[in-house]
Amino acid sequence: MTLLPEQPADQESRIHPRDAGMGSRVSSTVVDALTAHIAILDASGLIVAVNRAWVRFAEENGGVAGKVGPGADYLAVCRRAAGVTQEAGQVERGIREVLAGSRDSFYMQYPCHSPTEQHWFQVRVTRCETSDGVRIVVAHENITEQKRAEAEARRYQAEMAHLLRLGMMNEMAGGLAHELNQPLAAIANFASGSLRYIKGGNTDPEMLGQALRDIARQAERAGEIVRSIRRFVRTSEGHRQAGEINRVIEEAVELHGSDGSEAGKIPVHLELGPGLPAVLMDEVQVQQVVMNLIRNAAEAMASDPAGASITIRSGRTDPEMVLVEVSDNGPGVSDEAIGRLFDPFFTTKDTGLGLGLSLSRSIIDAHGGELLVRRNADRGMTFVFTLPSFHGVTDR
Amino acid sequence: MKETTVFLIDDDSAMRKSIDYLIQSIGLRCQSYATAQEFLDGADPETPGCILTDVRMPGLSGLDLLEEMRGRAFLSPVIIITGHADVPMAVRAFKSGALDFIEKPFNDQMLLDKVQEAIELDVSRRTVLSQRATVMDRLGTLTTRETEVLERVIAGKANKEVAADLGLSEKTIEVHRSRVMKKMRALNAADLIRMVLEARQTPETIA
Repeated sequence: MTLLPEQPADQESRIHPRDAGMGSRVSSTVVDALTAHIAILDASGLIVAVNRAWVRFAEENGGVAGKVGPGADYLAVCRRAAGVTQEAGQVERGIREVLAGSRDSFYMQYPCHSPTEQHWFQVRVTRCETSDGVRIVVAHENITEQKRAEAEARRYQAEMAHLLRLGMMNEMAGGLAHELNQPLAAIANFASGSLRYIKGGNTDPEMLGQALRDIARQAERAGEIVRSIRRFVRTSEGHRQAGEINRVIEEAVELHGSDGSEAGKIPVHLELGPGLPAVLMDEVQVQQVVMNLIRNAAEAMASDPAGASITIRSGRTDPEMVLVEVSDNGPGVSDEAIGRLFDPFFTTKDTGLGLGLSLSRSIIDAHGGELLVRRNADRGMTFVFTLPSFHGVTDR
Repeated sequence: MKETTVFLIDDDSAMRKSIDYLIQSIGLRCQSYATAQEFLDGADPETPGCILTDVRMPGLSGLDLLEEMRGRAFLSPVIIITGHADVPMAVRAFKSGALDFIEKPFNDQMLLDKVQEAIELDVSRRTVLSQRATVMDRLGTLTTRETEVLERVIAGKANKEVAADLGLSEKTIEVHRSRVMKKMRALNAADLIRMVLEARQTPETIA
């Protein structure tokens, strides 16, 4: 169903600048060349003139509800159509408001589906003052292609995200299998070894007790791996809203200092940039990233805490991107390790699973930013991440 | 021979400790290393036993270790422990001389059986090699004339033929022959022939 003319308009009634009351500024040739279906109404809503596209569309959609060419009451046309599609009613209200001067223009998109095909249109209603009085330009345009492209892009994006996650999950699953195998195999060895000692008459409680403690510790390790996977799986489902990165950093630093550990005593210096734009983020996740970077830095220096310090800077790289740097002055990591830092289950620590940086990177990636590492000129490492500013996000 | 030992190489400390514990539970000696390099630097190649190594390790991997060992004097059979054995890895491992594969997680009895088989294999290999070395040493003590006599005895010639060959009297051949038997510590002619042929058939090393 359409709001447009169902009957061919008269050849003579096509737009002429003078008829349309728009003066010689508008050439009828130009208006005819436009693909939008354009009608010009007078102050009472009567059609004064139409362009060639309007006529062609009317011809292709051969008449049902009377003539919708010059002289016809377009508001009445809309009213009749409103019985079939509610959008027609909205267009009528829009035109009335523009006619009344309560708004300068009106715009909407509406579906216009035939039984066999789906079509989308947009309508733009614009008011203009001419020497002959108020004129209203109604322009309908078929935006089906654009809509399809948008839907396609959305679907593609969703698929990509899905595939990306799937790929990551596959990689994770491989790593997970390997990582879970270790503690499980260790548990099995301690248990069956103990049985063999007992069978052989060796029931030294010291030795067997140690084996049981080892079993318990490995079971905990397996549990921690499972928990990490859960956390990883959850990272994509966060809730995002505009927030201040500096506040997130301050809270992370506070949490870091309050854990009572040796690493928690390493001082953190803040050099936070003033007047940073808001960031569209899941604050809990981003805070996890910041805390993770602080903890890594602190743990890297915990064995030699004299003079150790962490510096966190925030700023912006360009108007669209907010940047956070976490630097330490510790021993740094080897060239071999630096390339694998972000691999799942890679770790340089005795304890820990090697998921922190991998998780952090997936969180930052999911926010449209980047997490990178570089070696400091003097000592230690700097981790840098960017996040698009709130405007950067909405403008996309 | 020194006490047989299982050399264990695994970068995961829990795996290392637990396999060590399991192996010692059946009364075997176990010596463990966190990296393949530590093993190469610290282990004594003369010690009989077997090598149990993880594949995925920082630095030299288990497969690198196999290749490294070929160029050194390590004879002991190698059992590879792996999280997931794929075909290319298996091909590379066997080409480089691995004795066996064990996939994690493994059954403890299976691991211990394989370890014991590997140790038995190593001990018998080393026995053969040391016997060969002994025979070769004894052969080295023979004079040129004695060696000439020995070669003909091994070829199945009677004293008379040997005497004719070398242009000596049968009596003289008998004297040389009894000296050869004594030096080689052979019980009889059959024992002498077996001992020398076996030693000559045994390669210098067994991969």
